[in-house]
Amino acid sequence: MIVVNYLAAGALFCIGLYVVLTRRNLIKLVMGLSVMEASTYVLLISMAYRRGSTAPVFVSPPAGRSVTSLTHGGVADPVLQNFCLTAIVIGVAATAVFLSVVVRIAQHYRSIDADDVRGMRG
Amino acid sequence: MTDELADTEPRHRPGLGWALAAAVGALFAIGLVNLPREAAPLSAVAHQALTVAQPHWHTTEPVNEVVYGTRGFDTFGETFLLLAAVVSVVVLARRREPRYGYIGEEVEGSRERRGVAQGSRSDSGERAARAAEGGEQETYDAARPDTPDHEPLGVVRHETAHAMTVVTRNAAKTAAPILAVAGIYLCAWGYTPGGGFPAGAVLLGVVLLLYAGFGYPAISRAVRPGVVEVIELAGAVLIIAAEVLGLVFKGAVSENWLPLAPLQTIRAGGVAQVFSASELIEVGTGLIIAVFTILGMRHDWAGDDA
Amino acid sequence: MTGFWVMDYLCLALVLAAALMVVRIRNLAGAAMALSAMGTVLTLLFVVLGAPDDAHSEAVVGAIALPALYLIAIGKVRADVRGPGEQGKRRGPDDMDARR
Repeated sequence: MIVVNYLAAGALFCIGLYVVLTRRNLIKLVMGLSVMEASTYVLLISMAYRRGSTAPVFVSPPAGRSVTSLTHGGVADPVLQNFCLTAIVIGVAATAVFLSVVVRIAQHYRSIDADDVRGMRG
Repeated sequence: MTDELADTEPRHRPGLGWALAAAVGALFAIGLVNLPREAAPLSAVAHQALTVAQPHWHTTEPVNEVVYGTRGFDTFGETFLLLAAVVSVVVLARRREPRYGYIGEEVEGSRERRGVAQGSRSDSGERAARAAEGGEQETYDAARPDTPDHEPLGVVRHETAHAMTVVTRNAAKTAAPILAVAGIYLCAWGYTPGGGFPAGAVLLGVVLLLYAGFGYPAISRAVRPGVVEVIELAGAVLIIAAEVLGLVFKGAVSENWLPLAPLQTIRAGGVAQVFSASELIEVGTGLIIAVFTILGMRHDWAGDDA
Repeated sequence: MTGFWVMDYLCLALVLAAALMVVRIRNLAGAAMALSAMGTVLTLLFVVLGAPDDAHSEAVVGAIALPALYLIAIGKVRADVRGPGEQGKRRGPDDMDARR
């Protein structure tokens, strides 16, 4: 019942969304974005899983399976796993940029409270 | 000490936040329930990746073959997105005047400014004040010992030493090479799981370990903008070369143009292995630049009362 | 097969628990560590679901890259933001109560 994984990914996304919507602390807000990104990892890898599948690696297959049987199926979907790998890299890249913006805001506004920062200075 | 878990953290519109998150959750639940479950057959592109991995790329790791081989252009875009993120962090952290190094720049900047101000008309009062300020700055620099080993025990004071105590330094000295070899191993053997990106992040971990243990002066010779940025762009050029030569020789961007080594050897995988190694260089140095740029981020205007 | 689903659901529960800890913990450094814990448990989930490449990446990112970035950002922010907790109300310089 992989659908539990899917629903857990949706719940993780909502937790991250809640943090982004309600928290005033900008660093906590970036953490909420990281939680939302983590939900995409869970969803992608759960969709890559097939019933009774092992890792898509043709080195030393598990008991009772031969490499040729693995090439015909019975492994998780490598392409979706590549998408998750890309998502992890982009997650790190985005978090680095968000955090440097937050540090800049803290230096200019002396506060990282979203309500203080909202005032546009002329 | 207030209770750590008490959620008295300032927030706004929690009710609205709950409602919106619940609505998005309900929408997601409807969509997710109809996704193909684990009984669904593998997609055609997955079968193509599995069947083509061994004969065409001589690699026993289809995920690496997909990441660095058939979908190499996608990984090319992702790696250069990381490069763009690092460049934007560097631009965001840029100070007003041209910067010299990641940390210790304030000293450079103020020394340069003092040199320039010297020429302007200065009366005796200003010269005395400048001398006093110079003296104080020098004493602070000299006061920062290299290692805290000579500090008397039990003195409550702000830590000024660059490095940590001898125990931590030795632990870092032993752990760093082991972690570096483990990281490089992760990416070197292309036919097992692991690739350029995790190895690059391990490289960042090793550099941070040495930075924490020995302080910035110890690693400032290697971790300088002049050195690290050149290495990163060399990695980027290597990636572009590996991709475009595939177009030149074999007519497709991430096509393999290298002679194929036998299975399960270090050179197995053809151009995928070259791509993975150059991504190690680029991701490792890119993350190092991003982290040290944020570390050395100073005010980008004349510091006010602070 | 049931052993697989037990591990799968356990890892999912741990990931959701770590996410809730990220939300609830008020101390920023604590929340960064909770985020790192979530990364590590995600790695376990990837191993259970048969994704070794992503397990490598998530383990390294969750343990090294993200916590380093967050803790450095928290340190830099604390240097400029005065006040009781993470969000400094604009206080006079004399109001130096204990900073979290």
